Amino acid sequence: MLTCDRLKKTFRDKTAVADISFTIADGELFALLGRNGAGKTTTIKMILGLLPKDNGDIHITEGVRIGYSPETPYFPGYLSGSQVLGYYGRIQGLKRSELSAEIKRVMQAVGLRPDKTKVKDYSKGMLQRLAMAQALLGDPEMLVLDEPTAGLDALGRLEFVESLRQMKASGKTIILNSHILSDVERVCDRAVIIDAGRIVYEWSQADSSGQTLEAVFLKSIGRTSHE
Amino acid sequence: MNNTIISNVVREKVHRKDLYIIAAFSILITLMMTGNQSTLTINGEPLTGYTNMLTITILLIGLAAGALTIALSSSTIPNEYNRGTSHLIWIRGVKQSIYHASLAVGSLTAALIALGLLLLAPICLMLANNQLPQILRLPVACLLMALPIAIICLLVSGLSIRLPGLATGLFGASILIIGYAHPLLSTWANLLSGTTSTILRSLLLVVPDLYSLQMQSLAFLCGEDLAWHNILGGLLGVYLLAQLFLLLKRKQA
Repeated sequence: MLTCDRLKKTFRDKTAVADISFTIADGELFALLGRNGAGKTTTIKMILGLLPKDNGDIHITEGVRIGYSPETPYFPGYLSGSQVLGYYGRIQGLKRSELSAEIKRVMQAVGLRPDKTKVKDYSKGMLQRLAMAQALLGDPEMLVLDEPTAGLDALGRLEFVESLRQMKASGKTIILNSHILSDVERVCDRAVIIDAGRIVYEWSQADSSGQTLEAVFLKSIGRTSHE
Repeated sequence: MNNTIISNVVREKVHRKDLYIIAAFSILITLMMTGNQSTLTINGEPLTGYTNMLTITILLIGLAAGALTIALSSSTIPNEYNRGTSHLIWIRGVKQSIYHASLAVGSLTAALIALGLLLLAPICLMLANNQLPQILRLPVACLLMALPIAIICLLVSGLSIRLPGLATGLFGASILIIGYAHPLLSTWANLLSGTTSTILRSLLLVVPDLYSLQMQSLAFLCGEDLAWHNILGGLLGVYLLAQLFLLLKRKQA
């Protein structure tokens, strides 16, 4: 479904992405891991076409619709969650007749109630859920989720992991950018560990060879668990 | 143009309390400045004569509406990018030109709502002077007043695609001041010579004559002949500035 080949991106004299290549198959749950500033978000932005790449190729299967949940979502505080979703749904071209049912569906999928609560009264976790809900509008084949569990409490995270499983079961291809290694280990099929703009390790659920992802991660970025 | 984006911008702008505070303040100042206090005369008519008061009111409203337009439009596009709202629009396949133009039209609509509030000042003045026919002419005069506002809004919004909000705000304020000081600067340019005169003439050539444009609404209210070349020039300016949205693009969302 998606192939990234030798991606490169430099901001003035700082190289954010030096050389990144990977392929994601249909229905796969794939994670990008790495420290802050490793190049994960830059890679995601290039995939989404939000940032021009300096070099390399990105190939996405033609006709695939992509939903995107940003790391720090902003929604106008005077709108309710349903109104926010209505706005993005209309921009997306959803028909007025199907919009209210679609809003109900995506709110239910992320555990939000379609009431009149204004976004300004939402907790950080609820905002994150709303960001996820707008990504699900129109039932896209591919989801790109940038730090979707940031701001969620323990229960929220567990529910999110469960909803990821359900989305995967429904056939969606998911790219997850996360710091929570245990979540990735629990649900993802494969992951790449990025450091200084390069892939330093490719992990897969199938051949994790008994090592925890945390151990692999620390080793890959040149740290030990004591550091 | 995307109506959903336009109505969202208008909704956001009308939620700003400062819009109403500035508009109320402007109306108050206008009414105070045109109050019945002066004994000075212009061309034999007391300064507080109705025609003079209406002229000053229309001019002050033009300036206040222009300032509000800059405040409303200079940050609209930069805010979308700073908040990351643009990410959610770009991935939905909305073209940059349509996105930016829709944001600008939203700002313009909000600026016209602000103009509507400011028009309370001349309406008060007209009612106090039993000028009902002029009140009836106000809707068309309002369309003429919208021309300088549209020029400022499109210029500021267009430049804010590539420049920060503060820079475009300051640039817009300079254009507003020079545009409304056209007759004064023109007189100076004629009186002076050398480099200063050349600079002034160049400025007058580049910056649209917002004063003359605004005065067309006064001419219409008073039943005088309109300077059509000014109006057509204003419309041409609006058309040319609208092209900014096709020319200027962002490299990243």
